[in-house]
Amino acid sequence: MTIRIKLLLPLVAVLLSACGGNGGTSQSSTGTPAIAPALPATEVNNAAPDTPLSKEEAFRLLGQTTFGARLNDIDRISGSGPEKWIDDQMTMPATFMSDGLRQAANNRWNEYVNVWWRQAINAEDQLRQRTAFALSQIFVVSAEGALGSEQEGLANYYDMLLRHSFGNYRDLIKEITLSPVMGEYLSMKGNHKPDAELNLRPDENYARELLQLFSIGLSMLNNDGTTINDDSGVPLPTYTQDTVEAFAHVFTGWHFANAEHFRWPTNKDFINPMVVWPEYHDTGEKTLLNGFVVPAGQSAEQDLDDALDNIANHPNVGPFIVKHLITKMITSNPSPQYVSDVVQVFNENAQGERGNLGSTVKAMLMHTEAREGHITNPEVFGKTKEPLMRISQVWRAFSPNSIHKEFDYSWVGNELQQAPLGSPSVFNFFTPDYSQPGTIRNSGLVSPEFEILDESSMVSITSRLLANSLWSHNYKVQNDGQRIAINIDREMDLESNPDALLDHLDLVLLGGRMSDELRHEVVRLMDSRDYKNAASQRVAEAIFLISSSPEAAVQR
Amino acid sequence: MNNFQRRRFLKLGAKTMTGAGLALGANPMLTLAQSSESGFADGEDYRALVCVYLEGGSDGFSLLVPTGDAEYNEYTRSRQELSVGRNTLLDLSTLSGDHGSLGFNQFAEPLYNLYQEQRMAMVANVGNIIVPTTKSQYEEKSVPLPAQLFSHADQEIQWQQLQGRGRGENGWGAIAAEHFSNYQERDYLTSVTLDGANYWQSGSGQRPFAMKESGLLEFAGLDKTNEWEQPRAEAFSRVMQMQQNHVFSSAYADVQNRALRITEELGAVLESNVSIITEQPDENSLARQLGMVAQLIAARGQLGMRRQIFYVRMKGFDVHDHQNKTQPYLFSELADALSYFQTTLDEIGESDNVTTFTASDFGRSLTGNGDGTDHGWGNHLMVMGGAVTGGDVYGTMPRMSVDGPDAIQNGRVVPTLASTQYAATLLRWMGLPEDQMNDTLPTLANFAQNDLGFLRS
Repeated sequence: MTIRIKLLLPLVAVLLSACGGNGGTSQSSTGTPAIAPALPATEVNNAAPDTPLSKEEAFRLLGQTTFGARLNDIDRISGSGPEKWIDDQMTMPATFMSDGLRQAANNRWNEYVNVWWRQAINAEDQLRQRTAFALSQIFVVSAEGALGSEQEGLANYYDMLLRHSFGNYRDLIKEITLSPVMGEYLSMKGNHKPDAELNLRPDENYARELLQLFSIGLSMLNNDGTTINDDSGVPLPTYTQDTVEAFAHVFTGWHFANAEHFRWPTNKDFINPMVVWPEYHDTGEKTLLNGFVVPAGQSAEQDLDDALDNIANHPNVGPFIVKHLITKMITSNPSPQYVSDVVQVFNENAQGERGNLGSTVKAMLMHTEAREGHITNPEVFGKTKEPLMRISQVWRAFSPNSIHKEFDYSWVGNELQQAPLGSPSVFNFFTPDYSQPGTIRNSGLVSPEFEILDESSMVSITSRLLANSLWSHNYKVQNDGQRIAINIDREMDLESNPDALLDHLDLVLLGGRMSDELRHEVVRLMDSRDYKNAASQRVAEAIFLISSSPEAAVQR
Repeated sequence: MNNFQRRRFLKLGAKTMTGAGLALGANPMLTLAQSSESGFADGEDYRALVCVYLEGGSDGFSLLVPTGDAEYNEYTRSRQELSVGRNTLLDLSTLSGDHGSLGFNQFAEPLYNLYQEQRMAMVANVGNIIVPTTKSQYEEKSVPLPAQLFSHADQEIQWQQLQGRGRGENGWGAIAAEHFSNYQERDYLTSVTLDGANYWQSGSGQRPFAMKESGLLEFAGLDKTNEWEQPRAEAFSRVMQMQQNHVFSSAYADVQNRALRITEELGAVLESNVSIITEQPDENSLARQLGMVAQLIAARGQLGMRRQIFYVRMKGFDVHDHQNKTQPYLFSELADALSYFQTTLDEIGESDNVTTFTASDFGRSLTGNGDGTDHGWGNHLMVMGGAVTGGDVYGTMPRMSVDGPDAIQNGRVVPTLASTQYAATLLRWMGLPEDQMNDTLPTLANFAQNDLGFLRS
């Protein structure tokens, strides 16, 4: 029996991430926590001045960089500039899902979802968590399908995204390409070189989606994110069917690290990177993007590295990835200038590195559009909060002292049309260019999250927000461990002073921008509960009415 | 005098049946439409289209297989281990044309039975093309071709919009729905989806009403008839009707408002309906969705509906992997769900009024990759219903040879029928006027035949 030689991937990864890249290069889940170096201040054109944040501005920054603002964070970061928060967050050790899964007190088959919730609510490295969450909606793998029972593998995949959140794009796509979870999800594992007798050609699935969804997209892009079109206004394609087939030939010969056969092995290793079976790799010449030719006779590893270099160096990658990150974390309709300024940093950061995600994320947050877009474009700037964030925001704002070990909201996907690592397909829960019919579409804007906000999902979200506040707070007599009871001590202290309470809820839920009309409705509702011992009712209902409002549905 | 006025529905604890529903405002187009020349036979008839979208590219070539010696050999030379066994295929005879001998996949037997009853028809080798296209025209690029031919997202959008080579603004369902909505008071129920947002039903200011397969959801804790919840429920309603100063919060409030109002209205009607007794297949998501569609159709009289379009979706057809293992389940689930649906339509007496059609991104490649197939182009689809002139195959069976006269790019078959012709046949049956047909389907005029003939008029 041939001995499978494990690739020296960690070594390769270190060599590629030259300039101070992340320290986490081990493939197992107990790898060294990833870090990112502190970055120079004004790396992006049109950066906002790094002046001290007001409380309202602090709320906004937290809305973009966490799963929900907390009062103590608002207090802590206001008075300093935004850069300090970003730097602190980027140098903090990472919180990994695999660790959380190992420490979980029960063995539910989908406990990883609860692990994700715990991290979203409590992890200190919020910016990394939020960035990895955005990456998980670009480089999609999902429990929907064959991976449903592979939670260790899924957690490990998510940890890989966490490790690379402030690292280098080229490193990231290499790990993704060799990930056994991705190998299963997009059927690259066991991909076979051509066989004329069996009329067999390589599986095109991974090759196609790597190009279409993970790197360059379907259409040629300018650096400002707009498409380059032909004379009839149809965007110019980035590649042809021939290109897909060529990449499909590159990605042949890889399988699970412990596979005992190449064709339909029983052994499946969803943790360690895939390994090569040279006899199944196609060694023909392949023509990739922009006419780049991979010569015949190379090993699978060499072909793969050449192909990933070819992709990573394509000019589309910057605008494609930057626009994704911006629309998932800052605003759905960025100006071309904003995209272009951040792309410049992606293409080459201050140290001359291409594809540094840490520099890119920081540039994205320090740019004047992120810091002041709500003033310059108040009716349009921002994004609709996705369902998971609506829930996490309330749990963070009124976070309990501890989360019970039996806590279970692993079934969130059934209720809210969204779950971590639970996308219905590789196209994510919603597509980047979905545009809600009506004013939004008529104005030429996009509203991606609206693709899953319809009459039926909205009933669920509102009902869940109600249940999580009104029926599950720490002044209720019965609370079972499975639910999180929000802690409203601080709010109860303010309850006798409605103005103070409203000001406080306004800050912590809406960043101080509550409309007068909404405030009026909250006060009116509170006044209608005028009987004895109704204090907690008044507080909880106020929280519900505010958090379920259309104002609270938008992050700006 | 508006003879479509309804009494305001009062919730009195027990749900009452008659005159159900709040009037959300009399439809101003309604009386106008009634008095003008309509494309409908009379003022009371009902027709509905049900789009069963098969996500990922369904393998029609495994559903309908040529069984003549030469044709079958050609097929197995291409599909090799992925071929369907000749002795497992159910013999299909056709009423028209010379398609050679054909077989139907045994795992879809319930659909075969409907075909034998002449209530299901196969439409062969249909796909997204802009003009009639041959292999050499594809290779020379001498005719306009759909953009991004093998990309799921693009081909799905093109199938659902049919607005030209690339992405348009409007789905063909939405454009038609805008016209049909003029004929009923509850115009907002013209388009209904059981699978959320979709391109087919969106555009032209139309947005489908979304329901879950489990039925209408109720808001928790916001019952206006409950004394305790009432102040909260009313506050919530008022908040939803407030003017918003952001385009997203405004759109959010819109959806929330529709949810509030339609849920209340529709809930009463559905609860009061007699349950459908046809047994629903277990653990079958498509059947659940279609079961909900049947319930809505059963209520169409009470709701005063004349024309509706429904959207349901079945996942899992993108069989790059494990095709032989997965496909039997896919086909049997699909067939069970569709035949269940047709039986429920029989039960509620709406068989002749509802036409169900399948659509998918594309068919699959003739060649395999070891244990699955890749994205193709031309596909075999199905239409079902009492109005279908079934028991026949419409269109032409292609040659199944990888480098043969009908295949390009290593085994993708060039369609000989256009998706737009397929859509035109369905819309004409629905009563879309001729003078709107070309606006709704801008590439239809490129084809000589603007009706494929599988529907009685």
